[in-house]
Order: sequence, then structure tokens, then C-alpha cells
Amino acid sequence: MKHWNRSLILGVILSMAFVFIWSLETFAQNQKNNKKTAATKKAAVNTKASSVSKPAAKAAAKSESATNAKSVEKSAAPEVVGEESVLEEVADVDVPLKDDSAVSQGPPPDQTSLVKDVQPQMVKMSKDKKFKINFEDELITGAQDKPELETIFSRKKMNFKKMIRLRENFINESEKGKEFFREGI
Amino acid sequence: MKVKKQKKISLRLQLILLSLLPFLISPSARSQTPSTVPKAKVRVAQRAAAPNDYKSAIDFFRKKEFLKSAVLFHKVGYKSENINEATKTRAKYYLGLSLVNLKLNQVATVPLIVAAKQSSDPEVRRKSLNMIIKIADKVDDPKLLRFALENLDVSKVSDVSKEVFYILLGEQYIAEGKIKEGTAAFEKALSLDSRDLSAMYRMGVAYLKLNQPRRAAEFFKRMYSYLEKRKVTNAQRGLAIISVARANYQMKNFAEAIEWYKMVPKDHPFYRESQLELAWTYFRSVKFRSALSTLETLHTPYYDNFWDPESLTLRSILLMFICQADEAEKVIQTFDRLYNSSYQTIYDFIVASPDPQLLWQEIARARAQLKKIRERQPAKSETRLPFFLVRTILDEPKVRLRLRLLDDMDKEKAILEIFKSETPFLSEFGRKIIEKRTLSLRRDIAIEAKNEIVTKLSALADFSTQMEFINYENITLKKELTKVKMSTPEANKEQEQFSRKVFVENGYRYWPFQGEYWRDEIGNYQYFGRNLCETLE
Repeated sequence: MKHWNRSLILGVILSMAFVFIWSLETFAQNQKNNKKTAATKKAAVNTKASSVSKPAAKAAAKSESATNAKSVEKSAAPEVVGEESVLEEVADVDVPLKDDSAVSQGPPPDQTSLVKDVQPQMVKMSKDKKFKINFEDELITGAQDKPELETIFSRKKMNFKKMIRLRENFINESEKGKEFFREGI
Repeated sequence: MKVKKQKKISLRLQLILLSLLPFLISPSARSQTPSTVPKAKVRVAQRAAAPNDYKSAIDFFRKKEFLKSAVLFHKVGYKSENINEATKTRAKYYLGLSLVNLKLNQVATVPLIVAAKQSSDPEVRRKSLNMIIKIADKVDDPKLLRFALENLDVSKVSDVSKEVFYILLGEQYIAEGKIKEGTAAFEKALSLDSRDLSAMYRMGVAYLKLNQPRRAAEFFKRMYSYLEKRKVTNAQRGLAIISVARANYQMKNFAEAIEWYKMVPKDHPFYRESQLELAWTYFRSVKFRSALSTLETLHTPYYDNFWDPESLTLRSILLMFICQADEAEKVIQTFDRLYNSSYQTIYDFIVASPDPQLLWQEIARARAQLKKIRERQPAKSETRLPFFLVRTILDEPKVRLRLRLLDDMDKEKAILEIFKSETPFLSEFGRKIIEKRTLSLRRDIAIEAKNEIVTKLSALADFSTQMEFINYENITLKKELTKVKMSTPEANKEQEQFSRKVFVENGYRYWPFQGEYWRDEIGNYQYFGRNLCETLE
């Protein structure tokens, strides 16, 4: 009887320990996945991929699904209606965004590294999954009267933001002008 | 042999004269006069000041005979024993005023400071401090300013000095980052004199700092309205124009900014500066060709000898924008040759030689070299630092202002030399002050130049990093262009369509390029060719 009791208690303790360790592992795994997903999302939003227009990038930052669709563009080549439209998922889209397997296993991209290299590996698509993209509400009409430099930056393939620091003002130069009044010219 | 004998005799004579010298000079003169002053003059100057001297000095001062008044005031203030202290300090104050009128500002500061410190009469103190503020503003001496501001009560400042006082107070606030308090002080200065250009300009700059360019533009335009009728080369007029342009740039009103920048005349001191800013404005308003042509001006031999890494960076980016990878590569190489190679030399010089005297020597050499260049004489570079850097430093307002003061001091020295025969004591008094001031001013110039160099070096480090990115992107661009060229040989044939000898179109006649440009006709050249960016797309 004593032996039976002891083995029962031992069994219960062991099973509790197992459950505890398992829950810890699961929690740690989830944390890791969340971090990676956030990092890849940040990289995808920060860099304007050449194929995605400015409004599309904004929409992608707002919703997870749009980010997913944007990253899918190159690899899966979904049905695209217009260049300026925002990619939007419909209810029957099933893309494993938070799934560990869907996110690349590499470290979060460095600020200086080019995101071009990271992007194609971001999402793995299975052939069975279908996409339906609705562009109706996102149609933009008209043209830009005054092209801004930033727009041109986004159109070019080169990473101009890293290359140049735009001059926003000439305050330092103006500061030096004060000396001209002391010279009494 | 004869020569040797003569030398021996002259040496003996010198020795004898030297041994007799103490007996030749009277004991009282030995104790008071410098050896350079002639004996007869010493006796005149040595005479104790008579009680009438102060009155006659005042009379001379009223008659605007400042040299005579200065001599007598100096005698009363410094060389008299029987006169009371109150009169002495008054004499010192008047000596300062007389010296200011003789354009001996630096010398004048010393008796004025003594009068302000020692006088028991509050009126003399107040007036002395007011005068010090004016001189300090004129000669830009921060120590003098601090002394005056610490000892002065605002309520007792005269109206003219009050203006200066409020401007300086505003500057002090701005330097501490209290911009709103600064603008309030400038407002007070403007309320005293609504046409005070200095206060107006400072007000504008303060609003630029507060990121209110619209209000800043109002002040600059008001400033320009007062200066509009002055000569087109007037520095303050040009400053007003360029400031309005800057304010417009800051409010992203690029079209108007361009118009204002274009108003700066070519022979104006601000023209070079305006060209880079104009290029930026063109760039921001997506007029790449115009921006490039403006930068071309900066990279001509006339303007080439200046420290300007920013223009090269901007040019290379512009060239990449229009897919001219080969041209961009040349600019990158120029940057590397001029700036990256000299970075270490400059760094070593600044770190290895903290002695300001060495830097002063560099500045003096560069000034001499620049003078030769301006006089169109052959000039050889003798500076350890790159000449184009030191030359640019010489043009920095703070350094230039102090160099101008140094020149003024040389002029004061020359004036004192003229007075030497008439007023040996006063001249000697002034000479000592000038020598001390010259030394401290040289030190100040060196320190200021060092600060400027350090600022430029840190900016250069940023530009170098940018250039590395540009180089990387340029290599990528070249690679892409080569790929396109190799994959589509038909694209090259398009150029050949224009390779006829002469043809006429829309009133123009076109000839193929023969490998020679005429500089005065650069603006008339046109070229055909396909946009390289289009081929990439």
C-alpha cells in the first residue's frame, strides 16, 4: 500500500513537472516567434520594396495581412490589377503569418544591410492557397501637380535616403551672418 | 686686417658707452622712463601735472583737439601726484574718450576700465561702462562685454548703449537656448530704434530657429526694404536677400527661394555661398539640370580652391539621379583625392599641435599666400595644412572679424608711431596695450580657427560616409547599365541615327561633337542621346 502511494505521488509530481516544463518551453517559443515576426514586419515596412507603391506601403504598415500580401508579391505573383492599388486580403485567404515556418529563420535585418536580400525569403507559400485581391475602394485618380523629391526617391531603385541628408534649413549659415553687423560694412 | 681693427675699435667704443650709460641718464629719469624715449622729451613729460592741466585738457577736448587733450589727460590721470583721486579717474575717462576719437579703440579700453572700476562718482562709472559697451560691440571682445554687462544696471544705460545691451542680452539668451526670451530682448532693442538692422536680422534668425520661417521672412524683407537702395555689392543688402531666400527654402517655398537667390549679384561676397544653396533649392524642386549647372559654377577653377565637400556630394547624387554613372564616378574620385586624402593630415596637425601659435603661423602663411595670389604674383604653398582649407577658414566670419581687428590694431600701432615724437609717454602706454592685445587676439584667432577646423572635420566624416554609400550605389548602377548595354545592342544603334554631319531642325543647326568645347559657348551646346535611366527601366 505504501509502495503504491509513493509511486502514485511520484507519478503525479513527475507529470506536473513535465506539464510545467512543457508550458515554459511553449511560452519561450511563442515569445521568440513574436519577436521575429515583429522584426520582419518592421523591415518590410521600413524599406519600400520597388514593386509596392507609397500608399500600398502605408496600408501594409496598418494591417498584418497587407504586409503578408506585399511580401508575397514577388514569390507568389498574385493577380494584380493596378500598380497604385493596395493589396488587401479577402476572407478566404489563409496565409500562415504567425506560423514559425512562414517566417525566415535568419536574424533580424541590420539597419545598414539591404533589405532586398532578406525579402524574397520572408514568406513561404504553398501552391494550394488562393488569393483574392480587392482593389475597388483603393482606386486613386489624378496626377501630381508638383512632384516632390521624396516621391522620386521612392520611385528610384537606389537607396537615396542613406546616401543623402536633405538640407531642411540654412540656420547655421544664417548664424554666421550676424558678424556682418559687427564689421560695420 | 683693417676691417678687424675697425671692428675692435667699434666694440671698445660700445663697451665704454655702455659703461657710461647709467651716468649719462639722470637718476629720476632712470627710474621712470624707458630707454627708447629721447632725453629732452622725457624731461617734458616727466613734469608733474599742474592744477591747470585738467582744465586745459577739457578745453582741448571741447575744441576737438583730441591728441592734445589725450596727452594732458594721460598726464593728469597717470603721472600726477598732487591731484585728488576723483579728478584722476575723471581724467582717465576723458582719456578714453579722446583715444576713441583718435581711433585708438583698443588703447581706450584700458583707461575706461580703470575709470569704471576705481571711480567713486557713479556718473563717471556709468558713462565709462556705456562707452565700454560700445567699444566692445565694435571690437567684438567677449571679455570686455561680460565685464560691462556684469557691472551695469539696465536702468542706467544710455539709449544708444541700451540698444546694444538688449541685443547682447538677446544673444546671450539665444546661446543658452532660451530663444523666446532672446526674441523679447530683440523686440526691446527694436522698440528703441525700429530701423536697427542688426536687431531685425537677429530676430529673423531666432524665428528660423523656432521653425517659424514665415515670420522670419517678414523681418528679412523689412530689412531688405531699408537696404534696397544701397549698392548691389553691399554686404548687408546681400545678406538680407539671401536670408529671405533661406526663409523661403525653410518653408519649402522653393520657387520663390530661387527668385531671391538669383538676386545675389555675381561680384557679391555671398555669391559662392548662394550657389550651393540655389543648387539645393533646384534639387528640392526636382530641377536636376539647373542644379547641376549651378554646381558647375562652383567647380570651375575660380571657385575650386575652397573647402566644399557638400557640393561634390550633391553633384554626385544628381549625376546618379540622371544615371550618369561615369560622371558620378569622376566626382567620387575627386572627393577622395581632395578630402579623404587630406583628412588624416588635418587631423594629425590639429591633434599633434595643440599650441595655438603653430596654427597662427599657418594662418599668417596662408594670408601672405592669398595676398600674393590677389596681387597676381607667383605664390608657392608653404602651409602644412591644405591651402584650400585654411583659405576657407580665413573667410569664416568669426575669424575674418578678428583678422580685421588685428589689422586695425596694426593701424593703431602706426598712429601711435606718428605720435611718438610728440607724445612719447602716451605712445609707449598705447604700444604696450596694443602688444598685449595683439598677442591675445592672435591666440583667439588660432582657437577660433581650430574650432572651425574641428567642425569641418566632423562634417567631412559624415560626407565621407555618404560618399561610400554613393560609391556603392554607383557601382550597382554601372553594373545595371553594362547589363542593359550587353543585352540590348539595338539600343546603341539609336545614337547612330544622329551621327550625320550637319542637319537643321526647328531653326537649329546641329554638328557632331568634334572633341572640343569653347568655354564662352558652353551655354549654347546641346546634345542628343537617349536618357540612360529610360534604358534601365
